[in-house]
Amino acid sequence: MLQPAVLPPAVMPSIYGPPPRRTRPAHLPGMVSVGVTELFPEMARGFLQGEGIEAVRSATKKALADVDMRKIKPEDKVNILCSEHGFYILEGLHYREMLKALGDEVFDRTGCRNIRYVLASGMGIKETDEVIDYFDLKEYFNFRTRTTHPFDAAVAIETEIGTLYGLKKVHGNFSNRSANFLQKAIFDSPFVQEKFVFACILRSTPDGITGVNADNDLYRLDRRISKELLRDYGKVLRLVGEIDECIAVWDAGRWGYYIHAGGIAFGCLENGRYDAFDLDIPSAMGFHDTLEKYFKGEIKALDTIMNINPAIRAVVINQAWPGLPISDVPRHVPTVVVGRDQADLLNLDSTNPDFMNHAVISDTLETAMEFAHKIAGTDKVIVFDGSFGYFTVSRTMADSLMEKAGHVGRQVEEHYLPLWLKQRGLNNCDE
Amino acid sequence: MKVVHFVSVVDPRKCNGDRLCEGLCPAGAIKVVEKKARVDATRCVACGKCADVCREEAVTLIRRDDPMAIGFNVAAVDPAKVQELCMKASLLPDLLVCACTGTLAGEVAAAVISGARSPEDIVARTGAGSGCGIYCMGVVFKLFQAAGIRIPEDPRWNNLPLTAADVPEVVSEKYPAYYFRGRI
Repeated sequence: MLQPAVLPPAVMPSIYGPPPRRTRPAHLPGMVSVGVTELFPEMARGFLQGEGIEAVRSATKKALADVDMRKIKPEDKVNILCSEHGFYILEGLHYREMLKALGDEVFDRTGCRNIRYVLASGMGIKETDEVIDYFDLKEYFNFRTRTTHPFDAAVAIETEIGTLYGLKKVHGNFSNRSANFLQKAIFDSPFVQEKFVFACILRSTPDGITGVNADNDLYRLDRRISKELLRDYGKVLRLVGEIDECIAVWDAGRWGYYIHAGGIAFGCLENGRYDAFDLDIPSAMGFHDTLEKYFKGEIKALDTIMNINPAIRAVVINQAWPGLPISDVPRHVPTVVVGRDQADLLNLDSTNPDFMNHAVISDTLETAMEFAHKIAGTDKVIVFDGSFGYFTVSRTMADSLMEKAGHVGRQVEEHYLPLWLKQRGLNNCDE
Repeated sequence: MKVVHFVSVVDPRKCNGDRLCEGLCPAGAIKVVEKKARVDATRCVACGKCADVCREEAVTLIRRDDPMAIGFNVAAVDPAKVQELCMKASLLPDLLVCACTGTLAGEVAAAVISGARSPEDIVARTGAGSGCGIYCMGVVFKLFQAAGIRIPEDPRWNNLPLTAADVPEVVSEKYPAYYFRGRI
């Protein structure tokens, strides 16, 4: 059943974004919330903002019960490598609680006091200091915090595909030139294996936080969670891919591409016409055989993927961080920026040097939406405001999503999920 | 083509000469002289890393009186040579190297052919590396390597020329789920 729009998670103030907006799309007349579990009733219910913090603490302890920590000696130095994304799931408090419980558990079971939480930023060098202050982490964690960013000093790591680099401060969390296999190669290296003890992750579905998993074997952990992740996120991804027309609104901290609606990021809508989980989708690889065909004009590269979803008829930016290349949006879609302060940040953004050449400014969210409606010719609105559990949408979009969800859910269960699992060798995996 | 509308300026009263900005500048536009950072405005690409890393808030970006265009006339370079160098580096010429500025591998190859001899040259001639600086430089180093140009070690980019094409066949066969031998 449709309900008045649920207020989305609060926005952390940041030098990288405009001051948090008082008026958010959820405040606008006519906006409603459609619940993820209303769309997909079979999906497990998750905790949302303000719920389940204690439950995360006990789930962490429970998940760690079978983890072997004997590798950690009292005199050791332990780095707990934190994910920058964790603090932006809902309001970040579930992730903070998991990390705290994790540090406490390591101390209780090993006697090791030299525990450090290492916070890595994705782009902005001061992001992590802001997170530490906002979440009061120095006080909350009892242990030390340390920060690192992608341009920190590197350490060479020998892997099976050659020398790669990790961040020196954290000994291989992620490097600044990475792709999926690079992380695997680094993880498998003797350099990391000598230090790695276990992994602990906060579990989520598009409906919210569902628990905690931990394991000494990262691959076993991966196999254990992949099926659920592919099934639950796959349904929401495919549903968003079915949207035929919309105005998309960015309304949270962080970069527009990564802002959530119904637990998935705007990027999933932007590339929503293609099945991101399908490993058989053509990809461009610079191998000699394909290069030769390319130069002979026998094949065409990359004309089918990573194009902006034509269903997006307009984009309104109420608040978002610049700092991630996304100028394709205003180049191809009418884009309205709310407020001079947001426009000034975009003007200064070296990752989107011509963004504001292609966007217009509106003084208020209301006028921006009115303008976007006229240009887009649709009243279907979907808001990326950091929400899990709900989509903040216009009534017409809610009706459309409700109408399509049943069919999409069946398609995923019967067609897509078996394909995705088979491609990953997980179709016969019961872990 | 990138038009640079801003330039970094340093407040010498706040600058403590810690060289953090100098160590991050992809354009080589900042030098610390007598414990004060100085910006060469003719090289500054306004990436903002200097301002971001500065703990003293000594660096700000101000609007240029005359915007500076970063560009490169690829048409002036023999396309056959561009193709040859890209082939040697196992790169598609229209591979997007820098998502921030839209620079393609072929443009970087053309810049190398026409005399670029350092990453800073690539930044100045093509714009690649003047934005986030995270995804582009591996391909730049790949093209330098293919051209037989050795770049001195530099912590800003680690000089890593590795791309998916370098993954040994034995490794790609070992991990089929990673689709190293992808199809177009």
